[in-house]
Amino acid sequence: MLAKTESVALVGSDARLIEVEVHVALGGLPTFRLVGLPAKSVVEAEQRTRAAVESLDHRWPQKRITANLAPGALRKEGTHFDLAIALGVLAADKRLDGQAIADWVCVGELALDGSIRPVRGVLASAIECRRAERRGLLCPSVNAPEAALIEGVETVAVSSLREAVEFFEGRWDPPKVLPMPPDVEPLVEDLREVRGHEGAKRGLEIAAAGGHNLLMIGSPGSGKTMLAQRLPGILPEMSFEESMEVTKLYSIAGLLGEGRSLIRTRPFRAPHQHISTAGLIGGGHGLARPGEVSLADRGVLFLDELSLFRRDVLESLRGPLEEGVIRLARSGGVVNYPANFSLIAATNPCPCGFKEDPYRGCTCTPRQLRDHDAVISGPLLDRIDIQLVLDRLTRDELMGAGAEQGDSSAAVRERVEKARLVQLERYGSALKTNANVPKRELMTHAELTPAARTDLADSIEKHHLSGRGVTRVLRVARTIADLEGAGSIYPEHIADALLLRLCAIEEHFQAEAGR
Amino acid sequence: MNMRQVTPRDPEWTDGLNALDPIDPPEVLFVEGRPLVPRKKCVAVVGTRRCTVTGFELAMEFGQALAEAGFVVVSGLAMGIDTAAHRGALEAGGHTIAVLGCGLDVAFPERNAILQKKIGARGTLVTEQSLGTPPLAHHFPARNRIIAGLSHAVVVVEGGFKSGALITARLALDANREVLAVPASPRNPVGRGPNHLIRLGEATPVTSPQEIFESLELEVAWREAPPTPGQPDLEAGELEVLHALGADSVSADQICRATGRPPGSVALTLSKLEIRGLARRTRIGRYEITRTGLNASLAT
Repeated sequence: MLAKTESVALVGSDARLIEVEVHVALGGLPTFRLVGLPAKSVVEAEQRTRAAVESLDHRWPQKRITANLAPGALRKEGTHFDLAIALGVLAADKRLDGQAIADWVCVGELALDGSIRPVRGVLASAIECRRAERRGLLCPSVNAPEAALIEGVETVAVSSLREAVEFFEGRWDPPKVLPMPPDVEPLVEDLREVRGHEGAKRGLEIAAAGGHNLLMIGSPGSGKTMLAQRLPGILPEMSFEESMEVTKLYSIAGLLGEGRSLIRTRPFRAPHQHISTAGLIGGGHGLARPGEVSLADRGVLFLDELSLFRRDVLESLRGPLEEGVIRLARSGGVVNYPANFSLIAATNPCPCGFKEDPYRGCTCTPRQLRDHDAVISGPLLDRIDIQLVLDRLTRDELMGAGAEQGDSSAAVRERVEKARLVQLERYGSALKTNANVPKRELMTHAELTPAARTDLADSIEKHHLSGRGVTRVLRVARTIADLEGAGSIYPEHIADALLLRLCAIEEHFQAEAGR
Repeated sequence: MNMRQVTPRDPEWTDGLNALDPIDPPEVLFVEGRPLVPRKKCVAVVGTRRCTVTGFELAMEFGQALAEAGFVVVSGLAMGIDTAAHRGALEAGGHTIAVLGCGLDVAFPERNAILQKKIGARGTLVTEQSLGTPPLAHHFPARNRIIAGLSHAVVVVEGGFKSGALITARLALDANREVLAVPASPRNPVGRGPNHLIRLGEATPVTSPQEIFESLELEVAWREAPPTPGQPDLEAGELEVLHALGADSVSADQICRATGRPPGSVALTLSKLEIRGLARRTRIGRYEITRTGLNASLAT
């Protein structure tokens, strides 16, 4: 006899409906066959399902059983097919009414005693259920609050196979599931706690307002990490859609944690310098798993000690920086993950860290300096608009009995949101910022006053700014003007942008080479 | 190629090399390019490979002025100060002698290969090492004694405590040569060498080509180029920022603090100063004063 139910396969950041067909043959040797490109984790479902079914005091059918996961050409991974397969076997063996399970989508991993374990990607599954207008989703009770976020999908939280069976027999009323709460605003580091660094704080605000990526240069202990950690707190508050996108990704990555709450704070990811390409952009066998760039989606990716990252690893960031998504092709197929993040790269001024430090000499050899510069001026620099130089704080500043504390993160965020609003009106999309609109679009809106035009022309000549360099200065100047609510770009905006312009490394090389 | 061996019996062998007597004069030199010149006509400009932009500019200026005054600039073809000195002399159309720590046919440092070729053609390459000898570490102190030997005086532009430049200065003193040094900011790590020499009274402080000639008691018809005429007058604010800039690079933040002016106005002023060539942005994004800036700041 044949029974049908549905489950989902996770493909990138989305779930796709999978039909689960179970056929119990009338004759033949007692075997179990699972077809439809299952990965090892799916094949093992047989053992778990068998034990779980017998936990219901129902004898595993001693017949030829075939389970098919359709579409057959899509590779399937994960342990969440267990529940659908078990229900299918029970229905095909006439223990359950086949009609009852037909229009439900079931996800859940079975334990040998029949209880149901949490799985990844329940939020994405619920979204798919709504899209395909299925009746409802049967999912592990731990994950149910994720699914309950999606309106119009009936969520049934089950904690054991027995509950699922009794639910379909109409003998068990599932408990009401509350959607997961937004995460309690954690103690985000406040910008007000940062002493000194006035220029850097302003740079951070400009970066947040225009969506610019930035490079921080400073000696060890000058506070690069401290400042970077404060960027998420001044970026605009996440919209519900952004929250859903991030929560969905974290659900798929299995990183939602015990609290299981809707992510409302922007992620901050700081991968270690020895990270592999697969770790950074995503990868793995079969279908790729999300990497750090996707976990930093809508938030901040902080690369500390930029020069210690492998060059090819940094190179891999180009795509996501350009497009905001990462496309990963592996043996199991191509998947897309969102990767829309703000990049903060930090580096010492030189390998020993004390170049141009007023109190300690630099002990690097020319070759070390050259290698260091080669890495920082490498592949990423095209996508970085702002460079901040951090001074080591003096003793007085460190002690600084709360002298001038500056603005709080909340106050800065308000200004940033205002500037973003200006950009939203101008470009007509929340995804477009001064940092990433196409050059042509920027140019039509980057109107310079005559004085500003002269200043820019002078500095192009003086600093040998490249075409790309000029565009970067204009992007930053546009953001500064937006922060001040100015329609066109004034000389002081250009001057501020020039102050923040990227490394004079090339200029410096030219000076050293004697030009 | 005009490569040749020069021994003490050749007319080209200069007096300076013999004067190295107490400290092991070379037995043979391999020379390429123009003939060696008597010691009286040679001044060495030496310093660290890891120089500051200011040091580089100074060395270049010295090389240029010395060449214009008819001197031959001797140095070691290393990166940094040496390169600047050679380049300055060549730019002035003068003669320069580069003393190598490797064979004449070995390009070292690689980044100076072109300069090495140029000097071979328009100046002189000198080495104690035979063809094909690689640049080994111990060749360099030996090379330094030849620099000292060939020259009438040695000018140390920048160098740390243990730099080759200081070795050259020491060898020059031993050979009874004049040693001059450019005083540096106490916070400039590569200014320690020259400052140390000056403090011990071993070197005469010099800050311009004119002073080099004066302290060597040389009568030369060399005049410092007059400052660029019509230096646009500076506003009070610009002057204030200019004064806050020192030889040590400072950040915009530090300027704000030193002058008490708001960041916006400091940014505007800095960018104006930079465009006019009075200030310059360093490798990592700090600001320092330029030569022109210094003149302008002194003039007011």
